[in-house]
Amino acid sequence: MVGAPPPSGAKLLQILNVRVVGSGERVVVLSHGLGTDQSVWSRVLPYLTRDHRVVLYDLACAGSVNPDHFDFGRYNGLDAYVDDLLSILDALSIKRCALVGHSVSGMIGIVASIRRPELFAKLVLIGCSPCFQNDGDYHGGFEVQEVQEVFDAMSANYMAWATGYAPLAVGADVPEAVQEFSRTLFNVRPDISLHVCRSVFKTDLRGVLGMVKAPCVVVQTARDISIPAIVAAYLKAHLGGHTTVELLPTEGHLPHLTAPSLLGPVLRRALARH
Amino acid sequence: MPTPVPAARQCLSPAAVTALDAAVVSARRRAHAQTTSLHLISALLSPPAPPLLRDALARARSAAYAPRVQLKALELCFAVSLDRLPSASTSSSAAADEQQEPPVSNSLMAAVKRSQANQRRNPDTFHFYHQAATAQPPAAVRVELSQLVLAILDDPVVSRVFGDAGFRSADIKLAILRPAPPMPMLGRLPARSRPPPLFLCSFAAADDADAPSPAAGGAGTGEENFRRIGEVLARGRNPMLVGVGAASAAADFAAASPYRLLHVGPASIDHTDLGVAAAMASATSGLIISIGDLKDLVPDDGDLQETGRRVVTEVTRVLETHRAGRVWVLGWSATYETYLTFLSKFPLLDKDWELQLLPITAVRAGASPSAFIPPPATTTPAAFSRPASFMESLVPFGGLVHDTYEANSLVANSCPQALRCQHCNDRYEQEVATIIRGSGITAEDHHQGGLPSLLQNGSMIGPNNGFDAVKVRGQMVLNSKISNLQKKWNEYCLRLHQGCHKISSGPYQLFPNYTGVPAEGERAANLNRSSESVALQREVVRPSLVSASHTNATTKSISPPSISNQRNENLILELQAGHSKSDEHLQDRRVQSRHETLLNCHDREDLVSPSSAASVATDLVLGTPRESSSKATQEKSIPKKVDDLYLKSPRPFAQPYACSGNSTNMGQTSPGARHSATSRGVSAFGHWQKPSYLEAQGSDLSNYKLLVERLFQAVGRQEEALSAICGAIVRCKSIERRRGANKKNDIWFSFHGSDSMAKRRVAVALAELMYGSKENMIYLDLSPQDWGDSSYRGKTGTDFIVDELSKKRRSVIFLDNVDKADCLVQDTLIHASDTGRFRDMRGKEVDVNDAIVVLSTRKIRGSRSVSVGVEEGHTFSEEKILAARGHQLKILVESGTASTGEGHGDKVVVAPGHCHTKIQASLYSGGSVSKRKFNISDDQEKLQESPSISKRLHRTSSVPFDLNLPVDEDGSNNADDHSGSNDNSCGSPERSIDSLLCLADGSIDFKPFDFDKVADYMLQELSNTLRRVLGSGCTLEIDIGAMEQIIAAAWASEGKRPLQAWLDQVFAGSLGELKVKYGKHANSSTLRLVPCENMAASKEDGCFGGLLPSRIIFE
Repeated sequence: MVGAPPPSGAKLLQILNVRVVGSGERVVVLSHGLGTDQSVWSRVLPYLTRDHRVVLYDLACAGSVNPDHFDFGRYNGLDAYVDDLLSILDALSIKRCALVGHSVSGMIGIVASIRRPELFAKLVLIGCSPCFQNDGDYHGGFEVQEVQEVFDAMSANYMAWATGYAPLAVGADVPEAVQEFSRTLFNVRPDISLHVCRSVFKTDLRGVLGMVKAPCVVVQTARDISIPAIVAAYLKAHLGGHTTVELLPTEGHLPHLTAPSLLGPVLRRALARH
Repeated sequence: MPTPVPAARQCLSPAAVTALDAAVVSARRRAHAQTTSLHLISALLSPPAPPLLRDALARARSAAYAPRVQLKALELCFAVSLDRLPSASTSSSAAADEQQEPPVSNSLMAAVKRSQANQRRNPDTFHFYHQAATAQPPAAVRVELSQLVLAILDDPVVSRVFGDAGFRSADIKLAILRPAPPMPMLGRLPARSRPPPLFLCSFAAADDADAPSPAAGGAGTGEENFRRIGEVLARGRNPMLVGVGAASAAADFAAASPYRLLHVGPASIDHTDLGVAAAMASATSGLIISIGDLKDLVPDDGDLQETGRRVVTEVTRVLETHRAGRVWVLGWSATYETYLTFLSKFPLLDKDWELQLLPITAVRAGASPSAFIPPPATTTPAAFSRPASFMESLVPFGGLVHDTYEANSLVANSCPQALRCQHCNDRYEQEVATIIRGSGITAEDHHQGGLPSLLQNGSMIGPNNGFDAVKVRGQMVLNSKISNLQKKWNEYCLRLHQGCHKISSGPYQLFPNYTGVPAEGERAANLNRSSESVALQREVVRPSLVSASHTNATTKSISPPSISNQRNENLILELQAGHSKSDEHLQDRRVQSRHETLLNCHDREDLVSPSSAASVATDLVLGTPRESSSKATQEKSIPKKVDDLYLKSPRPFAQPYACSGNSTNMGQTSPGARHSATSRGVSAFGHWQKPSYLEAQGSDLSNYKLLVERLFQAVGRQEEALSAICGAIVRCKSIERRRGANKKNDIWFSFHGSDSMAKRRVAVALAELMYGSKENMIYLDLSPQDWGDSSYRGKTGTDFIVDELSKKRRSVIFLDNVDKADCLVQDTLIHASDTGRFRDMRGKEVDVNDAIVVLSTRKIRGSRSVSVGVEEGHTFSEEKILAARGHQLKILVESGTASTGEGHGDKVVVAPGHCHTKIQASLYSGGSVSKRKFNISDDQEKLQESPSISKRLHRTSSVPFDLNLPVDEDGSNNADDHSGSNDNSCGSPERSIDSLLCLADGSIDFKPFDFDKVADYMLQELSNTLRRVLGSGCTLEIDIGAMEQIIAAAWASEGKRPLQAWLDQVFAGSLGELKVKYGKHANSSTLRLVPCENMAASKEDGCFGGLLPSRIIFE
């Protein structure tokens, strides 16, 4: 709803399809990336449910959330998403948790842990980048011009763009994963998708990485069309907390879809230490 | 019927005339046929015009957007709308009519008339006009600019454009009518950081701080930053913005802030009297001292540092004196590091200044929607010289469209009473249709009723190529409008559904009652109160916050950029290391080899080495128990071996291994040692025959002897393991086992120990024996590093097993490295072992009732670490051999014999030399300190006795001289490394996997394969070939990599014949070529056989799976 106060509490839990599964003392929040929803975690979820209480939710921009709740004005930067995340944790009375964030959710996690350092014991950042655009010495992977081209392509023909993008992002050799990613990608309303992409591309967290105090694990695949491997090095060098990098010997932007058996143990290991 | 401009002028007051003239100029510049309301409004928006409208807009703008962004959007919307207007119809006469003014359009003239009428009725001026009317014709009423603007705002064309930018005409009107509130509105800040927008609905809902606002796809980021900065200010703390977008966020704030903002920087500190400004500010409204980018305050230059220090001192002084007043400090920094540098230069400043860090996460640049709307001139095709004609070409109906959509909009917007929720959708669609027609995109392109479906845009890339790009952009604008509309209507609809009584009047009602005003005043009072309470709380909150940020500062201030660079490099190294582990090993070895090659030289010269290491090594030749025992048993056991197997009776599977735990020195003291000793080395090439499929399964399976024989024919070694396997199979088949109510037919084995090649062969042989074909084996390596393999992409181990098993139910499932499996696979395996069914993550189940499941691990039973211990005494370990890749081999020829000092890494030297035909072979194993040396005396008789004629000097480290110590122990450091890297992430991996292995029907131990024996044999063969072809004068050094390749090929090949063939054909052939090429030199030269790391041996040739090349190249 436009202009109304952002929903909170039980209503927000309902809107964002919050789900808590598994048992254990430690809480892990799984936060998905762009073009997906919480179903993307289904393949790595079994690795975690035995020892953790896992909180799953959808970002407001996900296809599984009623687009009427997507306030174009509010969701214009990361802050609204961070608010959502923090509200969810508050509503669930979670005092401390680990966050596994993919792509944009990694960014959300970074900002959230800066805002509420006491809440996050650990951040696991999968395919995360502090800034997607190249800037001087920093190599984020996209020139400004390229970003513009992506937006143009998205707005000109979303279907064609998504059909072309999905295999690139996932890796064409895993048809099931491509199909799954395409499904969630198409679920997102095109205008919302474009809007979110824009707000993500204008996000730049490089200056604030040092304010993160939580230990971080950066999970990066060997080849990712969205994130150059050097970004992982950048994160390690600049994140304020103790940071380790896990390089997965696979490719694609969505290791949780394409390589669950690689990512699962890595997640377990990363989360076991918090 | 357009009105000439002079006629229109007569109706207007001077200010309005000025505005009209500006509009006319604008219309003429754009070569439009008429001067419309749009022109007038856009003229009023641009700076030379009186600020009336701009001020009103500044107050009426929506709460949801940053002020700059929204105004920018408004400009844009006007620009777009103007571009859509039809141009002068006679373009040929345009040049002649250059000076002619485009006449005033009907709608604008109507607005002038409306405002005239209004002004006459207006109570303030009624009497004046009433009296005047008696004397003058009504036309003489000169319309004031404000009245004109109010009237124009009723123009649907105009209000639609405002609506697109997120404004409501009604709000603007209200803002124009109401006087501007006093600017600094401090009391409101705690709850909202700037004057609230004057919405009709927010009047009605005065207590509701979050007034609903139409969404226009604008940018809320600036708004968000604005709010957060305002919150910090309200708490009495001083915001410090950190982030790449911090500077622009500060600028945005400065632009919209109700406070006075004073920039103080190193450059301006000398000219600014801060004290005075602050005193004034605290007396009046409030002052924000902006110290700008922290980078400027902490320059490297010494002089500038001084001014930076002065800035800080000044600001600190002012803050101290005016603490109670309304003075804040605002600063920003692109990076957190700069902030830390700043704090390190000015310690405790964060405390003194009560700084509050605000992470700014978004950057503005290039991301605003404006980026998508090109300036018309640049995208106009070259053929069209004027924007007008470009527009004409886009709008097929010319001016007609304009009229029709105007009419529609009137219907849509001018009847506020009709806004009922059940009509919302209809009305929304109507509006969308209007916009679409107005935008010049043909109906076919958007025939689906105008849902903002970008998906439809694909159809636009069609026949009219010339304007596709332009149209797409137009479409984008359109779509954003449509989505705004949708939002707007949804909002209305929702509000009406809820039956909210707060809204007594429709949003489009022209002049609302003014009941909202007192309500607003009340709210302001409330907010004032809350701000006070916040200010009280502040004192309590402060200490903890300060201490937190203080510790941050101290811990972080010691990480200058250099350190981070260092870390960066390290990481890159780590990344590389992952890809080139083998290189690393080689490098390590090279370091060592320098001094070792010295020893090597001595040996080659047949000198007694003076080094103590060598002499110790010599002693150990005699002392190694293993060597003697294996020697003793060798000759006897060879002929008996197979018979022994036949003589054995079937026995319980576990029995042969009862003793194995007692001895760490495996294979030496256990009863089965004789067999294993012989099977190693000798029998590796011994008995190779193709196993035949047991056709009459039932009878043959019970025949233990036959089964063992067939298996042994296939595997060629590991007799004890084979007999145990067969024993278990026979036992399982003979008794009836049950799993619950069902009969259990599946057999579970656990294979322990090394020699993965033998294990795999066993599995293949079992598949062939039990299920008829080698194809009936499912092989899966569960170690995590293997999952990078592309064939497993997107699958978990469980998925793979279930997929394969559902294809071939009757098969041998061979799961290698089961101890390294992730916990999910382990769970699945335990589940399957319990229930006889594999279930994958999608819930698909397949039963294993007809299968044989082999769980293979390199760990020895009862041992916690991987069974590397037994291999420690050896130069060639199974890991290295497994890691060997088939590279192209190359022979380097170096004349003379002095080339060995060069440090070429590890090598084997084969010198079928001098008078005694003695082979000297030195092997240096990399990575460990110890070395090992062969002194092979090349006597012909011994060669015939046994291929393994070498007296071997087992590697030892220099520390344990006690020969009674088990050989394994000195390798424990390596073993630790392995167990360390092998940490399994599951909660209790050891226990669960152990219990799984205990569930097996048969636990089989495999003996390690003796690679050194094969190495000895191969060296012998190589030296024989060398001598045969080139004579005894030359030396061959074999790089360790090449040696590993050869051994791997020997290990993988079935029998020694293929390898012998390779030696005879490829190796000997190459040496022959070499001889021809180099003539006599070849006889006395040093040859080096090295692998070319970057060249793979072609896979096609040979039976070694590409491990050995079909040709050796020279250099």
